[in-house]
Amino acid sequence: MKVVSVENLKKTYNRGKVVAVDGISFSVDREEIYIFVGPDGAGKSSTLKVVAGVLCYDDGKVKLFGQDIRSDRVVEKLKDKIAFMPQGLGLNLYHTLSIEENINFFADLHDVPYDVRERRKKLLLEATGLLPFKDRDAGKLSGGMMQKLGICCSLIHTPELIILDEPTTGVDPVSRRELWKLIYRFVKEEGITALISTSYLDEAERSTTLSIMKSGKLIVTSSPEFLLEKKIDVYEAEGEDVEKAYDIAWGCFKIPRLKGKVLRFVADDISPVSNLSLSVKKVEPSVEDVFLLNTGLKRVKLEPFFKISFDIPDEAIVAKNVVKNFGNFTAVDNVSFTVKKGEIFGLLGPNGAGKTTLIKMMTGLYNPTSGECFIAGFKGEKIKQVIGYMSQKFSLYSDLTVYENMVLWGKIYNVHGAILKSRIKEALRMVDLEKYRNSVVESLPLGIKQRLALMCAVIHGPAVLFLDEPTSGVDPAERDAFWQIIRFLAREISVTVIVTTHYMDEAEYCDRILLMNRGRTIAFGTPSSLKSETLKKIGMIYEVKTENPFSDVDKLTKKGFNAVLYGRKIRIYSKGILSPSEIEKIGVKVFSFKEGDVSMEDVFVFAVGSDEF
Amino acid sequence: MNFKKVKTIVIKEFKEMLKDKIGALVIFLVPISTMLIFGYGMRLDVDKIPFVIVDRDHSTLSRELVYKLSATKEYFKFVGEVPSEKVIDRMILKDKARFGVVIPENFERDIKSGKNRKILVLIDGTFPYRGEMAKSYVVAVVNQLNLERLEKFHKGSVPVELKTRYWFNESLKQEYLMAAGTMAVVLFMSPAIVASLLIAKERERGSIYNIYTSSITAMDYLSGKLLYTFFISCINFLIIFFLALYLFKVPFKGDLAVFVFSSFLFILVSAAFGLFLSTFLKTQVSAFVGSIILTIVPSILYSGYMTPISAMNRSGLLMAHMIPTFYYMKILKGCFFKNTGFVVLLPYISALTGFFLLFFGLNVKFFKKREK
Repeated sequence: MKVVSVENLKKTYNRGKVVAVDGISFSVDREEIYIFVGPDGAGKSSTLKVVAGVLCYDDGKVKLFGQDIRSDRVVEKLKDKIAFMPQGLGLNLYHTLSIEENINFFADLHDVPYDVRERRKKLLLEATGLLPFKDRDAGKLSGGMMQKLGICCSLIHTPELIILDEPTTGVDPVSRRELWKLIYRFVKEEGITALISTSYLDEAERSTTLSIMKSGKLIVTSSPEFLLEKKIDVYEAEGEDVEKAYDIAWGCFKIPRLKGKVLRFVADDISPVSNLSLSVKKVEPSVEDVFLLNTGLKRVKLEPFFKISFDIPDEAIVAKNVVKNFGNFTAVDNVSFTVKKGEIFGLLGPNGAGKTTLIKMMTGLYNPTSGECFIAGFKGEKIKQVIGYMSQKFSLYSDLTVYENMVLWGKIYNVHGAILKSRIKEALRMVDLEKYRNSVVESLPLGIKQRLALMCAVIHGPAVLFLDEPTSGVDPAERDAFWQIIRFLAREISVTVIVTTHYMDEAEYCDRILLMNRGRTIAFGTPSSLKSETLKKIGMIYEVKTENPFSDVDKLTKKGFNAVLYGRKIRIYSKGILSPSEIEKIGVKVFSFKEGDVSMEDVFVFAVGSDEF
Repeated sequence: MNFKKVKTIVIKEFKEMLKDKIGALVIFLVPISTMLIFGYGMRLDVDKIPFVIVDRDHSTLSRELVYKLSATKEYFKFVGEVPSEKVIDRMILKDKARFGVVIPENFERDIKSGKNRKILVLIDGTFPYRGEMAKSYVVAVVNQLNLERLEKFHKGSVPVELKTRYWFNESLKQEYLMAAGTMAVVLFMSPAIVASLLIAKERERGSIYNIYTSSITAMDYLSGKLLYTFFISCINFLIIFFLALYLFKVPFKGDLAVFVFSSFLFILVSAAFGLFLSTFLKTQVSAFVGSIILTIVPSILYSGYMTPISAMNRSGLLMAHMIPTFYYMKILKGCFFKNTGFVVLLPYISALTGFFLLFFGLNVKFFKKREK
């Protein structure tokens, strides 16, 4: 019997005007980890809510544990068997209640007897590592801890199906890895079925089955192994001529993306770039490759539409021993770095690492407690005239039109009259926003809003551009278009760009990266140098496929291997060289065994991990 | 009904309230401050109106008139004598006086010789109600003086003399009525706010999904919210009842048990009404503003709080009967001022019960554990 089976599900809002889910069908088996992946607005949340029995649907057949849930009476009877965690960091928790009180409340809601509750609570708190904090208010937890508590609360009544709506959004990679470990553990130990959505494409590989969703439709449904082992020839090229190769790639190859200094593309024949000075290697396809092959990618044609009207020193940003204290708490602890003119610079770190504080000092909103910060040669209050800032929330006025927003931003930054008019015209033409000129911002898709926000942030011709988590939840194709614009601004107009992000993927687009933890710099360099340094410290990474990955990973960790479950694969981090026979010795049946690539996430997790312990 | 789950909801709400200092403050502060503001501020009584006199006669009769005017110390305050009308003008402008009386020269002489003399009264008309009061007061005093003089001259008594006695609020203090009436308004408003916020808050944050996805029934969930609101509001009721009795010194003549019982019932009506509102008002702000407007406005206009029921036209009367505060106001006035028996109040109590069943019934019907 299928745990969930959905046929032709259709869900519309606003009396049919907005189609959220457009006739999708899928089914979930017991003990599966079924992941929906896709950009914001793809219809993931609506689908999950329908399955959780908290949202009415227009059409289609939805069965839970073999029972049709259209009638309220049926779905009410099933509710003690399922758990649903809505989207948003800790939004379903009661922030003024302690961890323990939260769990107790959920238990009582589901009529869990006292002794069962106490036993289970202890188990869950131990598994999540929250036991030492059980008296702390939920509102005072970090994002990652809140999500762990959310999962505890969802599991307290021992559900058979757990539905998690974007449990890892806004959570840093370290906490994310822990959350996944937790999910795997309970799926394995208690035979739970998990239905999860995520906007991180790379996370989809952790599933047993994944569905890529876009605009209310399922593009692909498959197991990650099957999906990624399909005959897709993905290449990565690196070297001097990479930008030249990028231009060629648009003509000859499929879905070329330039991430920092690395060009990634799909091709049958790589001869067009064979005489360039490049090192090309074949890599494993990722979910993003599959997604983009299905949706396509577009090239943004750009010309310079503003010039920076003053001279910028070659070292556009200089931070010297910057410290910021709030009372006894040191948010930024002696950070120094320089950013070159026209460089794209990434600022990464877990929640609370001090990124926001550092950005606020760089944008002149805070004065450093000690140390100095020069932005384009300026200091303090004057900084504000030479920078542009785009926040996560895009800071657009949603009830104004695209044009009105740009006029407003221009005037705020003292650009007036004919210059402003011509600049807006150019900007809109450049990024293909002309057809939206008179549309009200509220009604636009996320990707369009993002492009508009970027144009607003550069309308006054800033020398330095700050992007604060600019592409959260945006469609990968839109995200690539966005990065094409950013790269253009940096390369052709010499705008210096600072980006903060949680997407490890996005970090790869940067020229150099500064990794922060607890206010200090813990890693600094180009993405590829950081990766190779990390690989040196880790030793080797192996990707192993085994017969029973869930139990095998346990066997491995018990024997002292640093093994992590990743979908149905096991990743083993090892100092020395391993061979399959060493693993088979402890009773694990190996299907395939190969060296894995080090990812930006590995860099992050490793750096933060070695900083804490 | 699963009482364990109802209890769970009530306890959770109390825990949240105790930890959320500002929220708790609002819950108790709003009704108390409303009670104080309305109780003191909404009084329409006119008292201690300051006035001045220009006496150009300085005779026995003019002094008698001044004496009579300043005798009613409760309502009027004699500020003093001033030299001219111009000074009256200035005094009124400076808010030192509200009206001035000018007694002309040869006032006594002319009257004694049988002539008709006029006195001038200058009144501050910025607040018409008060001006009207001042005018009618001065008129009354002058009339009385006239009558007395007539009696003296004609040596007979005045044919009809009116003697008025007010019952049930003997001293005719509107203050009493206002303070008691404000209780009704506050008791209709505050539980409704608390209740509507309880659900709107969960809906806005997303914790409502915990309820949607658990097996708790709408009945149990809403009962939990209702009971919590009821307990909180009972505390509020006691506080404002004490305020009415001891701060506003409103006498209480009726049956305490009947009054407390009907007040509790009224709180339940209000709480159920608040829950009902939150079915439509999805955000905290709209729930807060909406519940204030939809409880206060009709309570003030149609419950007999400001406008007497007897002065309403047909549609007003119909409206009044649709508002729970109207019935509670009847009970409240009956208990405070009249010691009306239980039997007389029974129809009103049953009306409140009806309202409660209606609102709560609608709640359970409209609360859906699946979103649209």
